[in-house]
Amino acid sequence: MSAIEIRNINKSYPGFELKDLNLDLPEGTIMGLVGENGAGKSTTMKLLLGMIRPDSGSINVLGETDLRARPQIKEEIGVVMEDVSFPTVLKIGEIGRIMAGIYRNWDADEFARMVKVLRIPEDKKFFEMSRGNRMKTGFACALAHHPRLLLLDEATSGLDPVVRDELLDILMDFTKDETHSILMSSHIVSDLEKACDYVCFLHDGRVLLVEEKDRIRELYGKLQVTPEQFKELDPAAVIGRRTTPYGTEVIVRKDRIPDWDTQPVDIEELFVFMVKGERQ
Amino acid sequence: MKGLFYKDILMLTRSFKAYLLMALFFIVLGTIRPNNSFWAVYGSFFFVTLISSLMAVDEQSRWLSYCDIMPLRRRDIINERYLLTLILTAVLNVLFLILSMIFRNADRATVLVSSGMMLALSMLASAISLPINVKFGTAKGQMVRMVVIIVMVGCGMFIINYAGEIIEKLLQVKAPVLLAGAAAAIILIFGLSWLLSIRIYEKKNL
Repeated sequence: MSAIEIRNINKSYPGFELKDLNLDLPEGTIMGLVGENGAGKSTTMKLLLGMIRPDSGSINVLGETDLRARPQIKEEIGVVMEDVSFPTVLKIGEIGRIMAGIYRNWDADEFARMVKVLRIPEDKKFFEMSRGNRMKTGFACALAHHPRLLLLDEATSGLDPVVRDELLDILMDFTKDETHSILMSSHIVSDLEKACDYVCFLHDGRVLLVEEKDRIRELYGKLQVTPEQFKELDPAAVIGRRTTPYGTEVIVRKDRIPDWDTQPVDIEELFVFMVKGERQ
Repeated sequence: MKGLFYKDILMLTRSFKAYLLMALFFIVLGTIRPNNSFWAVYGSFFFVTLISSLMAVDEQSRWLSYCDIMPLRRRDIINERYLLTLILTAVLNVLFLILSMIFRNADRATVLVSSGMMLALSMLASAISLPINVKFGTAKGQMVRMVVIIVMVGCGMFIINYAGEIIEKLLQVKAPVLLAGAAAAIILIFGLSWLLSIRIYEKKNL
């Protein structure tokens, strides 16, 4: 069963278009959305939450198709956006009490536990907190109402590696329950590489690739070739290439050139090569 | 919606304590000087502007976008704002009546007229300012609100100048009917404003 099903979604703004987006997030998995600025990651998240309406296509989140009309399903969705936006003069305890008045499933003990685990300062007002602590506050709020689905939009960007690592551990803990799923977008591909089961590449409002993370290593490889060797390669196997004074680096589909010995490729390299390949 | 009320009450007592005290001061002044209802009405207006200030703070902190990720209907946010306006106005009126009874230096009719004016004007002011704030935001809304108020004052002056005598005669003959009509009109305007704000906010891209 899928936690998220997106079918043929189109959405256009002046200067931007999300084209024919199809995506499935299986229950119990983490999917990473990788894309440049303006690729359509935040638009996808807003569409999922019903914050904006698609021009065409359908969206199903935890069995609900219209989140704006029936927002009750958001009891089961935890969200952390790039900017966590609480009134700035409030302290963490007050934020917790506000949330308790909004979420029926709010678990004050779980919230207090998260505040303690994440070491969020209880005596500081929201505007006095560092970005790291503000994001941690967002995570504590997102998790304290026991959601089944987490939507994270650049939630780890701008944080130091230690905080990011702590948060990723919490996310991996969250998906130990097989009914829990996460869709997270990030510029920091190493975070996605560490946490995700599936990866989706978005570029210019289109999906370039959706694949299981482990299958990526099976399907794609990297080659260092001379210009002459490059000419011998099956063009259908080439995903992208980079020419340097020392030769040509090529990302290939391994199944198209079974006789060549390839090196493993990581997600970031594959994404960069695919995007550059698209541009060429 | 309980959480939204709690948040706004917190914000009022935290960030707008001085505003609250000044509004109370004007109300007290209005009860001490009973033959001049200006201060009571001014205090009531002052209270209404608190709602606009709350909205400005929400815009600044991007709280309204955050509300969109929570299990709230957009109409819940508007409902809370209008209910809060009504509650604040009612609290202010009750306070005014209590203080008037304590000071006892005005006749009952004058106190009731002042109280009615306070209610009517704060409801009318809110009915105008809330949908404008929802549509344009509080910064742009301020300009639009000023234009609307100037137009309304202009219309009022026109009516007083050209139809003042007729209204005065009508008031002498059918005052209860006219007052009831005015009250009904204000309630209707407030209700329409409420519905309009919901409609605007539900279509808005945050």
